[in-house]
Amino acid sequence: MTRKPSDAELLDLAHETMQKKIIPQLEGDIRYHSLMVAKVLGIIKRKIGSQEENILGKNDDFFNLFKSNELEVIESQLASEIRNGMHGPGSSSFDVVESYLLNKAERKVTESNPNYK
Amino acid sequence: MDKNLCERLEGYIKKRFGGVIKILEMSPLSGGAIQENWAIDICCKGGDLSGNHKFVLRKDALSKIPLSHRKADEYKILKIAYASNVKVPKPVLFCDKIEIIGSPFFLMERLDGIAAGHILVKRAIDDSLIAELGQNLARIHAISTGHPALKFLQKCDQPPSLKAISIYRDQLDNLSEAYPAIEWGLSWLERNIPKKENYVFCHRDYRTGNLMINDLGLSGILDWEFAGFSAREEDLGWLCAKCWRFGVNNREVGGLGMRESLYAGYKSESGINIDCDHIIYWEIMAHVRWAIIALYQAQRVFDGDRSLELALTANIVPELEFEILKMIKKC
Repeated sequence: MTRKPSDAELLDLAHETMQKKIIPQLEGDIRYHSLMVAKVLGIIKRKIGSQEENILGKNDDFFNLFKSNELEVIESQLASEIRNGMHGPGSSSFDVVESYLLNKAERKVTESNPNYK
Repeated sequence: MDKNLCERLEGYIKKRFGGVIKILEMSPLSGGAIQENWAIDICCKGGDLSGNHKFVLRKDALSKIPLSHRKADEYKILKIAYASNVKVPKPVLFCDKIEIIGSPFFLMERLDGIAAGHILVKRAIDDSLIAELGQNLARIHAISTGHPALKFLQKCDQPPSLKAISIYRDQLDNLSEAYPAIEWGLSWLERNIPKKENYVFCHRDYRTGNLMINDLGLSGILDWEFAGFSAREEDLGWLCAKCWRFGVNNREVGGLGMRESLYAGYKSESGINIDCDHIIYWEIMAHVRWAIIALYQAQRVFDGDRSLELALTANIVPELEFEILKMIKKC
């Protein structure tokens, strides 16, 4: 059975071509700009590959704190509640929120800069 | 080189210093994400500038980020720092006439050395250079907050940390997305305000990348656009924060050296002992601040600066959020 490459596979190929065939031939400013373009392709490739819904969906304790199912609404409410003193040390939600924020930040770093130490 | 622009610039310099002025070379310098810097080589015959000179012309880029000084004010600060024996490029002239190059600018001496962080952190750096960074920072902090030329800077009646938290919350409110991890950091900072903080004059961007270094040591401190009154620990925390170590995390002073040498150098000049816990507090603040600056820098692509480099700046925000959360968990 044949099939055409998916969007993610096309992006992967473009990224690989930039890194292996184009950038090694370049020098100076044009090399620097090409490295940035390759970086963007890499970020988008990893974002397409990540399974955001699955990762977020597993954290029921966290999502049970909110009425909405929309991540954008939840994040906005969470930011506002943190500023207003909720979820602080000693509160029942502290560990759940801290764990959610750490997991999310770690996952985002893996997408944006997998070599980060 | 733009011939007409060069002629206008030559004419302006001649008007200020006399003699015959010839611009030999003019080219953009890399590394200024917020400001635009140009290298200019000038030959002057007669007048007060007689001789050959290597200058930097510094002007605003297309768009600005909040709290960045106007060129007139940055030039005033540079002059004060120079007069206070802080290692900075010698200021040459300021021009507020838009018709010369299209925006206000100033000229300063072009220093010898390297500022690029990714290059410097790969080099062997002597402890004496790290101590020199501490000494120069202490000299900056010794500049009187009552200096008449610094009247344009905002004074404030609340602790520097509380003021910073308030500013960063306002800045977050002007962004279209919510950033709960940064809010988490700000709430921790609010709960842990240091007991005693004094206002001093601070550079507020004292870090690897803004420090010109040559074989002899520190040749000059660059980029004074954010200078203002704050806690001395803000500058020390900014310099030591992990986000400014360019990946060389074991050299805690900007990827260049060790804290002990920095603190010793600072004490040798000021007589002040550094409270390490207080610096850690400002390192967390540094990650919060850099995250917000990065978000604002990325927004500049919508204001006319169609730069991929600027757009990618926001890409470091997850790393900064991750560090904020990890540091707080450790405290």
